[in-house]
Amino acid sequence: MLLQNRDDLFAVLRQLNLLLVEDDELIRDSLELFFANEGCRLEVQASAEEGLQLVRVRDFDVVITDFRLPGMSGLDFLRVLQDMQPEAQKILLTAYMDEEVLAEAFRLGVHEFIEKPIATEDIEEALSRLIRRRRPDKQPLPEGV
Amino acid sequence: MTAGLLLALLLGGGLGAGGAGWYFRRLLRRERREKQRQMEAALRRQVDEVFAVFQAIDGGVYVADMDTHEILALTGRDRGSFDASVVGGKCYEQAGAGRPGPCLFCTNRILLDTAGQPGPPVIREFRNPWNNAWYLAIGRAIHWFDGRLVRMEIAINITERKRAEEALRRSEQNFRELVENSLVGIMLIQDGEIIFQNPEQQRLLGRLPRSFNLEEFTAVHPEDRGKVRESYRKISVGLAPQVDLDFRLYTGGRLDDTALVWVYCRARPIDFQGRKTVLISMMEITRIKELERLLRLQDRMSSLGRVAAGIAHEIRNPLSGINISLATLRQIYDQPQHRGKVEDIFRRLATASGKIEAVVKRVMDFSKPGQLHPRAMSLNEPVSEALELAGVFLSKHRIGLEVELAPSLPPCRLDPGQIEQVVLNLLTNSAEAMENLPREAVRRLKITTRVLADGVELLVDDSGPGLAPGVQEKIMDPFFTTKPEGTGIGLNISHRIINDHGGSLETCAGKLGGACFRIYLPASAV
Repeated sequence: MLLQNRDDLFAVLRQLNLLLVEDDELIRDSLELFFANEGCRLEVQASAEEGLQLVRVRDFDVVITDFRLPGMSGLDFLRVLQDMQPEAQKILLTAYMDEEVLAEAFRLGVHEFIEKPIATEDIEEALSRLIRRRRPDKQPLPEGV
Repeated sequence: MTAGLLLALLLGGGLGAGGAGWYFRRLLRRERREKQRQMEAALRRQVDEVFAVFQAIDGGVYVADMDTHEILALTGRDRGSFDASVVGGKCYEQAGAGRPGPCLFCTNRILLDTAGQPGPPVIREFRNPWNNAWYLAIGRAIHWFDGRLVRMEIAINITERKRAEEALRRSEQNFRELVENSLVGIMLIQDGEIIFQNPEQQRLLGRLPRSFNLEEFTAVHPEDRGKVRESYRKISVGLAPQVDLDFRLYTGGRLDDTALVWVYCRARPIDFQGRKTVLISMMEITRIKELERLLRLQDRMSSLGRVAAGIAHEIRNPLSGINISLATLRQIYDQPQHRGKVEDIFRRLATASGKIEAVVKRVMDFSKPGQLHPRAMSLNEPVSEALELAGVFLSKHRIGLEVELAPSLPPCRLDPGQIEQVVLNLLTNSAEAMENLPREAVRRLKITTRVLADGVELLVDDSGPGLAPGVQEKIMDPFFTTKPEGTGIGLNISHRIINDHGGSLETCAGKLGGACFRIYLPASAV
């Protein structure tokens, strides 16, 4: 089976376009550095509005967004994204697992939830599960994977 | 009569001297009798006329023989005792003494002076044991129309007045007992001097000498002396019809802390014995204050609990930053080419730890229990602190916060922790009320501080559903709540906190269509 270890995961991730929408500068910067260090392309945006501007012009394979954002919420952002890029895999970050939010997220086809405080292991596991699930679907992945 | 006399003279002249003398004597006797009869009739008429006057009084008048005690005449409205049927009977039979002879209190002896002539009237009050009626009796010896001295007594029924007097006496006694045994300390002050203290008040204040100068308020805790003096001034000059306040008091005239109690005091001006008087009642509320302090603490914790999810977020964000940075650090810390990145990560770790510390400090400051420790400061300070604490909580509720703080507010004497608690209460109340709005509804919350002529005000205005009719009057009452899991102490305590600061908390007409609360706080005297 693929993705037995971190190296396999990042080997796949390096071929994907990743987007992070997170208003907390610390999380944004540290995740950006973390992925950059693994040689992955992670675009970062501080708000849903800025994130939308980007998804209008570029396709993403994985979109990670915080739930609580200034202005438009992470859920509303995912709702618009679902219309524009239904193939994108969605991960929601949240500090509190509110049942109402969870139900709405499921309805929008959110694939993974990560509860704060985030550890890199949580992100790696979520991404691994995402990619494992995608593989049998024979969805076209970028060449070389 | 003159014509008759003439006729007699003429006839007498004609009939001879012997027969004429007899005739004249008879005539004269008849004449005298007739005269006496006429005089008696005139006197009787006079007596009847005088008696007619007494028919108007509640009571009556009677005349009795001073020797035989026989009732000669009587009149009056008071039937039963003054009925015509008793004429001819003995006066003592009517007095109800039940004696076979004259009454022990018979006034006959004292109605005549030493020469046996009528003396001055004798006035007395007595109760008739037969009918239990009270009379004011005025007795005097008078000459009856037949010439003898008789006793006339006017008796006015004063039972009503007596009953009223008795009722008044009883009521005064009851009031005195109530006041003496009251659990509330009561005292009366005239021109700054204590003219009355009940036992409870003596316990609270000590048995103070009349000359004690109350207006120096030495028995009041120094921190409360200002507000007590101000309230007393308001009452003394008639600025307020009544003042209610609580303060700390040194009991029993001792000025050490073991003698310190909390009292609730009410003062109002009254008219006492025709003089301007201040009525002061006091109740010891030390235990109530202690319970209230615990309740306030509980409310403080519960308001913190309401924003806890937001606070968790504020800690978990920097914690996430630390976790992720550590993971990166593990990868690169020993690679010289990444030295710049490693240093960058260290900087981030320090920032994240600082953020967590700031949140923890804010929570600790807020939850620190304490007495009221007011100091002069801008209202904006505790308001900003509360907004910091509630920030994430509010955005979690998707609330658009608009903050308009006046740049230079005059300082007020505030306990920052308590004011922060009040503001936090109002913010979380608004947020929770807007929770029930339809998902797409705009949620607005506007916080404004403004300078007023004699103080400052804070407005907390929201676009929520507003207060239902009937709720507005009750909303500050203890244990009144509109929330299923609410305790109903939050607003009540907020109200008390603001009162303690000499200000007011009330609902007002907002501009955003929901509920609006207004806090007024007086500026501190410089």
